[in-house]
Amino acid sequence: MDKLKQKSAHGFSRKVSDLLIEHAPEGIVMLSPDGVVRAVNETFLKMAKRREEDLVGKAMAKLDHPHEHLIQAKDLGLILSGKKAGPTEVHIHDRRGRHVPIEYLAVPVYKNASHKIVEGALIFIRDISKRHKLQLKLENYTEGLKRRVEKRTRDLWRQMAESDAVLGSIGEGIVAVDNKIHVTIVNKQAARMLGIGNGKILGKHADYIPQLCRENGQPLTREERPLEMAVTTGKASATAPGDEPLFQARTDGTRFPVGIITTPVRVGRKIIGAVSVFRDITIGRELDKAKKEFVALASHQLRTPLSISGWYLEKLRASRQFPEGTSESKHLATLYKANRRMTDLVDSLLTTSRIEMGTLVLAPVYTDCIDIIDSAHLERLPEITRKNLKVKKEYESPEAQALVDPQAFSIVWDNLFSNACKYTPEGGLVNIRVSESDSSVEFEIADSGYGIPKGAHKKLFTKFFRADNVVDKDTDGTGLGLYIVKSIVDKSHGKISFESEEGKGTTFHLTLPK
Amino acid sequence: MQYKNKKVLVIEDEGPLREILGEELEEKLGVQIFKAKNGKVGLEMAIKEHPDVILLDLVMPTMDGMTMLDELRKDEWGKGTHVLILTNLEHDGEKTIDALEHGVYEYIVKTRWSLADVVKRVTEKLEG
Repeated sequence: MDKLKQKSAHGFSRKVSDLLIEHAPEGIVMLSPDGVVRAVNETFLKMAKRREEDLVGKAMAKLDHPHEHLIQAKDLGLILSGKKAGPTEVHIHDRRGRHVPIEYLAVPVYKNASHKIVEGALIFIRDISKRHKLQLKLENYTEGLKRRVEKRTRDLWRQMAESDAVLGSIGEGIVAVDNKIHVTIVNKQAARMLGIGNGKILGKHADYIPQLCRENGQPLTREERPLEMAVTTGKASATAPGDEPLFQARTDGTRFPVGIITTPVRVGRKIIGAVSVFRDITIGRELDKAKKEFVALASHQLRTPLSISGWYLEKLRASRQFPEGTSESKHLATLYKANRRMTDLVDSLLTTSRIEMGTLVLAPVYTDCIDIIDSAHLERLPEITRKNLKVKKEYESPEAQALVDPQAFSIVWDNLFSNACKYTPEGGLVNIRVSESDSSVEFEIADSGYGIPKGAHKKLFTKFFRADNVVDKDTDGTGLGLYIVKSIVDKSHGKISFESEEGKGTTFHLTLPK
Repeated sequence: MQYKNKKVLVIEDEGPLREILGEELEEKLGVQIFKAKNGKVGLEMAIKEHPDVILLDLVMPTMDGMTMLDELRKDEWGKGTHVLILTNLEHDGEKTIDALEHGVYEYIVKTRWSLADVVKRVTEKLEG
């Protein structure tokens, strides 16, 4: 250091330049033109973990690992020709052989003010191990990130390929839009059915898709279009048998009957778009038509022989040749009963088919329901007398008129009343009440019968369901009655409910509009 | 035999039903019975005989019941005559509305009604 101090000839007092040199944040080394260390400061000694005597008077090559130099040969050359060198990054080793990354900046030191003769070089050295560590960390991090991005990209491609494959292989057409009703998805089927190239429509407004229209060819209004409705109002929609049929136009102007389900797509509460799933229901409609024709035909063809045998049996039973009490009269009664049972079954099956095809058309009129209740009572008198049942009727509103299809009400009541009689043991009670509120007529039919087991409550109105506790008591039931009742009541905008306890009885509550 | 001078026309394509209805009404009410096996024959017979009550089946060959009714209502006499529809097409709201528009308020559902019910309803019409 002495030499460095001695050579400090920049006009500072020795004390000041000493302080500057000793406390400089950077290591400082002075080299002679031949690369031998002439002086070093304390900062560098700490940085390199060396003693002054290890370095001063040694060539730079010896300072370090044989292959590393504090200053690179080309930089030394630059300096000797009067130029600056660096910043350059190199490694040095400390005494223990540990790597210390450094960065240096080297400037020539001139012998005189004319700047012509280079006397040596000053090298300013900065320990950049912290920076290196950070850089290394950053590199690792970047590398990790790159790997993750690559993996995620691969995953996304795979997922996209999968979704494309799934969407493409679904038999239904799928069209999705965003909240601006711009098309985001058109699967292969949809493109095929609509006659569009699936790429061409993406990103465009759904107006570019051939429109849905009615049977007469009139397109749906904007508010009626399912995708727009789903996006603007959040309402899902679906076509159902019995509804007005919808048709989907194709780009070539032809069209096909369509079954379509549309739902809004939500993220949290926000609607971000909507998706329609649709299919060509041409075949289904043909089948439906065939089914309807079959039911109409069956309705006529099955019932005609039943009415013939019914009326001829009635005539025979009334004949004086078979007076009451004879075995022939009993046989005729059995035959007649079988005829009635068959009629009931055919009626139930046909009503069920109509309900399912959506062709059960109701014509609600103001109906004297009590008349129908009374005639149902009259019709069942033989059974009621035989079983010694007590039927109590409380008409709080004897004039009550409900707004209901009379024939449909008759089916509903027949079912409820015949169930009450059928499933009540001998000597039991059936209690009927009719009352009125401002907007409805209420019917109650309570029996003291076998009751409905708790486990059967939920399934009671399902088709073909029969509770275990009555299956062995009565072999007549079809399991269709209450299904029909519920369907008719729903279609008539009424309500039906019940409460029941096994062994105690059942009460049905029926409410109809008025 | 109190309705000896009254005429009832049964229009029904099913022979056995036509026969038993005729037989029963004749026997119980003493009315004069006319029978037709389709709407066309029935219409001609109705216009010629002016029956007091017509029992009319709906599904028939040659001319169905609703078409016959259409034609009947065009006739000056036929406008006001009593018609009872014989049907098996029950629970069919559309048909009900159709018939209401033709001034028919009553149906006889063949599988549901007994012969006695039919006789009772025809008697009411003859009285009315």
